[in-house]
Amino acid sequence: MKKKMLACFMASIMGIGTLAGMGAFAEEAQEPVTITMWWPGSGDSYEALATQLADLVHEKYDWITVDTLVIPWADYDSKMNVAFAGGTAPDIFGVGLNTLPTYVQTGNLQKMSEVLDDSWDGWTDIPENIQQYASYEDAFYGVMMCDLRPFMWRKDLFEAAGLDPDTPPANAEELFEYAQKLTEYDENGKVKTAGFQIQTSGYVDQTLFAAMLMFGLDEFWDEEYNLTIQDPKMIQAVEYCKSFIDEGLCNYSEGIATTAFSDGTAAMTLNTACNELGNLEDTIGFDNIGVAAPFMEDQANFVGGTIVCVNNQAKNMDAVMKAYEVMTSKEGCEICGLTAGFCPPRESALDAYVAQNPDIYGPIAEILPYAKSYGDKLNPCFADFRDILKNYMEQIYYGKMDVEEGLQSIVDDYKQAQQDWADNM
Amino acid sequence: MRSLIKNRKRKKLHITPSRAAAWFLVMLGACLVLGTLLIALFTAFKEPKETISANFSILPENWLWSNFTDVLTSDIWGRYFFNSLFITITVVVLSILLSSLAGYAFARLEFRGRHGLFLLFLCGMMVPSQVYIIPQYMLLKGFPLAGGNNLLGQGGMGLLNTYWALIIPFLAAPLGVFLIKQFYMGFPKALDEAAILDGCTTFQVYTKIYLPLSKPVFGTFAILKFTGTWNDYFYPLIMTNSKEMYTVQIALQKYHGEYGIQWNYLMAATAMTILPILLLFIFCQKYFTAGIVTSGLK
Repeated sequence: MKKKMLACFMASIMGIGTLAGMGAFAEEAQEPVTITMWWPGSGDSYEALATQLADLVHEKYDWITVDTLVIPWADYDSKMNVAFAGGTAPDIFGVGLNTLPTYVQTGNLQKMSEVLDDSWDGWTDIPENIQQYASYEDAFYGVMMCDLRPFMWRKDLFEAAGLDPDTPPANAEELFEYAQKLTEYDENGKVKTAGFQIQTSGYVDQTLFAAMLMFGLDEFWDEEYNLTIQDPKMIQAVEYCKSFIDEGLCNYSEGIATTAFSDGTAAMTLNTACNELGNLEDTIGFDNIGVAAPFMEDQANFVGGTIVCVNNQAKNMDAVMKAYEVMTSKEGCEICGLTAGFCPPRESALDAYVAQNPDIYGPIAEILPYAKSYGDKLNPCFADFRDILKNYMEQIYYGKMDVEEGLQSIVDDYKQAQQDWADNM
Repeated sequence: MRSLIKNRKRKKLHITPSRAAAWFLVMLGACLVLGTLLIALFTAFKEPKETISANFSILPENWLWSNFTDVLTSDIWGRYFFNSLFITITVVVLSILLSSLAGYAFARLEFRGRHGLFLLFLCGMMVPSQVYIIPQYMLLKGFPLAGGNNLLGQGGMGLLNTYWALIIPFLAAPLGVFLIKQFYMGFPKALDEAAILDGCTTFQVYTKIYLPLSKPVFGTFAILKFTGTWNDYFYPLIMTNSKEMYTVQIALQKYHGEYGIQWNYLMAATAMTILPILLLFIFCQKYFTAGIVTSGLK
């Protein structure tokens, strides 16, 4: 009897212990966790993007709360650098496409290819080119919310110039002819509305890249990061851009952060990001805007974007990864498309994006798998390259320097910058 | 009285070519500044389409007062204004107090290493803030027993993302110390001696003689400090991690996207944010001029 009582007592103790243990486990698994996410951008649309992503995560995992912060582009990298130095960097954050190599070199980015297993649906849902551009040194760093450049034109200005508002130019020659018809001048002979937007200062690389694609060259640098810009096709591309300036078909565009098309001073563009469409709807109106796939081979044009990355020093990595997968899921990508105008990188999210306005967003969704970056590999010296290119292209465009001489100078200066970078590593 | 008026009239009529040229230049400068401000103000009333129209006109086609209400209702602007005002007023008041004490000490007290210390102090004016922002960030993050930190300053965020982080670093003001020291140096030493003969201590000389006479230099310094703190953008951006701690200058960036700018809203918000500074200038301009003159910065 005593033995039975002892056995019952022991069993009940064990039972209680087990239940208590399970309770503790269950409690531990659902202990509230707060993680942080920073996103580069500004304005209500980016605030909505961050808030809706946080809500989506909380809906799925009610024990995870995401604190979000939207930080102006111009100072985003400075804030991130200080936060990394101070050990207060966010758990999840956006990184610009061309700055990815710089962030990777700080050693703070989680290689997502190491933590997302083969069953992750993104591997099949995201086009290969987009995966490739979010990778550096054979590691994938995150899902890129895309910023694509379709061909956009002003239907109202086409009509005013006697052109068919529904038929954009079909090749480089037609583009030039259309630009001649569309350019308007003021009483002093200065360009009031440029026929085609040529960026002659600031981000000169973007228009130049589009022109390169027109002439069959699709990269600024090769696999070894050597510049390919002395190719005869590049010379043709530069001379093509320069012909718009020589013919007085574009205005001097000093804006680094703005584009002539968005400012209402250009009739056609290959250089305006799809994220700007929200603003363009307010300022110009969708009735007056035409959007089409670029006429270049394969409909290719530049793709930029914000890569959603993870801090490899995040404290609650399990919660962070759960939140990450939700944010970059089909629903997360839809949010990015419907709020801030990013083209969703997931093919499964494109329907919702296009449904907003098929005439406007349909062509953008079409070009996603063909979009290109400046080289097959992201360049760690990109910032230097852009500065050097900007300096010389301005001189070339305004006749201070011969095209071939200018391109040679770009190559020379770039080699020096590469050397300096290698010495500092 | 009549002769006085006549003299004044005569003086008014006495316009030399050089004076006329100077007036012309000043008026030209004033027109340029005012013109820019007016264009900005009128842009605040325009429709988005007008702000990017190739046919630029100074006046809006339709006066859209709703731009201001849209701005105010679109975000927590009340909070941003409160943050900016609280931080700026606290910084101005406390830094005037500290700078005047330091300025008095450097101007009047004799102690070893005074000149060396003053030079060291002035170095603070010559180092750009970008140089020391990371060390300052680490110091604020590692502040003991604050923001979840332990005694060794570990484990939490310290003073980051608090008002303290935006106030404490600005209390030491080398420019203020310099201005006030120069101002006090202009006082005759006989004043101090007379006060001491009347039984004042050194501190009482400061409170009873120097402080009451310091309005001009305090006015000047207040304007400079107020403008600097109110307009500061980079430092609050780095030291804060939540919208609730943002100041108006960071909030203005909301209308400045990567590629485009919402000019009408940006100008409406800017017009509201410059109001406090405008009011301060209107009320303190006589002190500002007097302070600049008497502190030897003319």
